[in-house]
Amino acid sequence: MDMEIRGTELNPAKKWPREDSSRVPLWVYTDQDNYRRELERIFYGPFWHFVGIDSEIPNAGDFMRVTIGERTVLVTRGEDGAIQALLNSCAHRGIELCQAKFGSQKEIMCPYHQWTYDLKGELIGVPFRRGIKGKGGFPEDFDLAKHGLRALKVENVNGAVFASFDHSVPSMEEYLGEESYFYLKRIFNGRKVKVLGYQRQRIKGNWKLYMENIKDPYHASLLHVFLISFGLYRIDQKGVTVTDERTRSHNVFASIRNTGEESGTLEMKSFRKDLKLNDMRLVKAEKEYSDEVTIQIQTLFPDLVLQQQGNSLQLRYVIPMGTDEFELLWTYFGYEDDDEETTLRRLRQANLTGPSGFVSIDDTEVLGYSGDGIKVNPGATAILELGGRGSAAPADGNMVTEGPIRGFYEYYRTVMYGDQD
Amino acid sequence: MNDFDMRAKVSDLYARYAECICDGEMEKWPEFFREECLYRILPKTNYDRGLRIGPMFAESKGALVDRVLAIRETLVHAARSLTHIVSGTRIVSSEGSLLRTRSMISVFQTLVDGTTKLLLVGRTFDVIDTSGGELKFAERVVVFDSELLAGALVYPV
Repeated sequence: MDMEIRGTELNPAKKWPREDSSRVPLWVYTDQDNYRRELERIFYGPFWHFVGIDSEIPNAGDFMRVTIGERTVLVTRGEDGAIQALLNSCAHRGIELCQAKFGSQKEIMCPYHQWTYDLKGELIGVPFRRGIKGKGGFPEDFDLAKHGLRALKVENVNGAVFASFDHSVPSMEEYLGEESYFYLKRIFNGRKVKVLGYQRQRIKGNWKLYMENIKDPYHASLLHVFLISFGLYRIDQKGVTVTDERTRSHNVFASIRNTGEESGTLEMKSFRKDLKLNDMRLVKAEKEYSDEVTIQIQTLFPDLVLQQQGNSLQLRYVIPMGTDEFELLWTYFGYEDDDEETTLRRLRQANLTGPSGFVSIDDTEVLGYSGDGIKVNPGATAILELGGRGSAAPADGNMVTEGPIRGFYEYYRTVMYGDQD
Repeated sequence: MNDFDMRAKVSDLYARYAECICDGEMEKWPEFFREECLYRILPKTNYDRGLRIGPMFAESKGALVDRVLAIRETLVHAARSLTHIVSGTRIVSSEGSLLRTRSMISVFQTLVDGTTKLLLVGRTFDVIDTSGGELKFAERVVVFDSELLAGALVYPV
């Protein structure tokens, strides 16, 4: 009993070291019960998860198989053109209905006992309902209408489709708050979006580490030597920081083009004069929005990153796989009316990110080292004091702060343990 | 040059190419390409759907030199050993001084404190320029089977 309260080095008591969020106990990355709670409360709770780009399923019957938390979900286009998200698990005995990543079908049939559903998930038929020659079959009162697939709540924001298991989740606009929603719609602005390709990687660390990494501008000026060496990032770069004041868990960092100079990204004031890019097309971005934002890095609680890096547009979606591993799914996209030169710019600049990205390799490697260090030290504590101890939004443009990570944990703690504190 | 000699030269090119990467002589890697070239690694799922996104994309030898520079000077990554197993090297067709070739490849990676693991398997769809003294890649497109990579893909294939 006493041991349970105080805990030991490898079985720490599940407490938070301080009232503020300047300390994060490492058990939040290692504890199995905490992880199960995350699945229930965060991944299957009243939060939105990105499930795909709508133009990937243009016609009635088209579907894609996606993941939320540890569950797979079928995103289908119905006869009426509407998009549904259905739990990929037969109402009969729980079997995964579909293993294909993409496809097209008129109805959804379970391969095991052929229970058949329509594209909205309604059960429309079961074999041997009346038995054979009067023998067997289902009871008279077996009601097909009561045994459909579990349907998720869906919202389509100009092509970006989100889903939630919990129908009490508010609309995306209400969920994100005015400013974060503005930045989401800055990219998903009504021009038809098309996917340029996917990349997937598994990283040996806890899923939250990825979201923290994106909420942490501190590391960018230190870890990402490529950006620094080639003069592509400066911590004093003119920027905008946005924090959803209600949750402090949706953030945007935006860099503004340096006016009066040739171009923000072309400005090669290298710290390493001996380093110069041979093929400058990698960083040659063209202005394509009406504003001067050249980089937009946005986190949407709990598991999505939206990034504009010059002309490269990507969504990074985090899929937890236990306490010590996650999958990172990258969706690269452009607009349907892009010309070939625009598409090429997006493809070239994509070299900065992904499993071989000039910037992202650093993160992938370091998050693996984080996982290694944390896994064996669950009783230790992380310190987050850069820029203070509170979770208040950083002053506009301030990149020298861990405030957004503190904000994430303040909200996380409320969602996970708010009813116990 | 007769077919037999050309097949031997192509086969030699693929062997030297793999040795270059596995021996860690990255500075020599861009020399396997001509100035104007296409280099691309992409997962089969994208390739099958006609999508062009993948881990690496370059349109010039200069961009390949940049990749080497990044690996050498800027990218934070743990030390690793690589072994490429290349097989089925074959000339598919020829047109003027260009040869279309294919090969199958497996790449094994060994990290410090780790056992050897399969990093990727796939096929290459290449174009070789025979016009100079030495054979050079005009195009190299690596299509790998599992789009799901274990961590980072640091070195070219």
